[in-house]
Amino acid sequence: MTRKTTPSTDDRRLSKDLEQLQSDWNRMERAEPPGLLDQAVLNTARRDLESKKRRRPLGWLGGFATATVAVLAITVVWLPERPADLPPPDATGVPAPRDKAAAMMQESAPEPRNAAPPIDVQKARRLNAAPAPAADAPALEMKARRGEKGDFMASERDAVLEKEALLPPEAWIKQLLALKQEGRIEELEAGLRAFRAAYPEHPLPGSLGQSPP
Amino acid sequence: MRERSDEELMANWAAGEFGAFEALYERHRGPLYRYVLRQVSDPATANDLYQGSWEKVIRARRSWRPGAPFRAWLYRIAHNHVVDHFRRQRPETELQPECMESPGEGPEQALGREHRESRLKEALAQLSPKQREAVLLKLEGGLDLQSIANVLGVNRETAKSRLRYAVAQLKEALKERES
Repeated sequence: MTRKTTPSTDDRRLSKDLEQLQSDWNRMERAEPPGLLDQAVLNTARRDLESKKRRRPLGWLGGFATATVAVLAITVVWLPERPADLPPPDATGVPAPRDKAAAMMQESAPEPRNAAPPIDVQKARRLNAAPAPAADAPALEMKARRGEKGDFMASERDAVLEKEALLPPEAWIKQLLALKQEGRIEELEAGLRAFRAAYPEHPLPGSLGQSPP
Repeated sequence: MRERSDEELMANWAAGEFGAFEALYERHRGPLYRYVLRQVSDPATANDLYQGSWEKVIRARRSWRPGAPFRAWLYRIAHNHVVDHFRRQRPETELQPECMESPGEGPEQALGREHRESRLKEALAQLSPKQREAVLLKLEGGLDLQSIANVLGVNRETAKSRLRYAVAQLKEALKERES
């Protein structure tokens, strides 16, 4: 059974005494803090608030700057390394991912109409002393796979570019002689121009005559 | 317009409203000043302690828990600041009756004051620091018994005991005047 708690006599007496004392106390002189002290305290509070307000925009600005620097750092570090992530074409001839893409394009592309010798890119790379830049190889390969005669010999620039993928001079001369024998003059002239561009110092047999101007 | 409570003002101040602090300061400046002044030996020290108490309050505003009674929090900070002062000085420093005079008041002026007031001050100075602080928290701070206990860091019964003793002493001093 619970009994409602009531203030004890002692507590009631204390409350009554306190009331009386408070009345006397309130009649005493009320000392106040000096005005300068008031001003000092208020200034401290104002400065505290203002410093917090000044710091607030820097908070998000600092976060934004940090995020920007992080993104830049990731871009600088990650992007140049990206090509290196791709596996190089292996020696077995299985195409690397980028070579695979070229192979897919090759499969979908029409076969060359002429009888020009197929270009073995891997072989050409092995035979040429100067290695081709890695970035040029896929473009060169795609171009070689295009099979369009006009494209293949479109300009001397193209011929020079493609020299790395072409046959050694002796084998090339053999093919040029074969073209002459078959009477394919246009192709022979184009071939001779390409040969001269690729091997300007290599002597040609007399049967092929002077190279075209 | 309804007057905002201490707790509402504190919340607004914590949110960055300077006017809320001004209102709080205006409301508590006198009682807090007298609470400090009645405990120390000279007005200059009282001024330092009073200003230091408010500076601590300003620094601690972010630690104030919304809903907590502001007045008890304020006096708790001031109490700690005064206790630190006494620890740096001599502990249990007893006040002399003349120390209870108002700042800037000379002895001649004190003689002319109401006898009742001087007896009260004298009796207050004769209390032990713990009893004096308990009664000042009641008379100046207007705190209830539980809040006094919280400020002093003691249980409610201890706070009541100190308060009862202090009130009895002050009452006795006033009786002597009447007799």
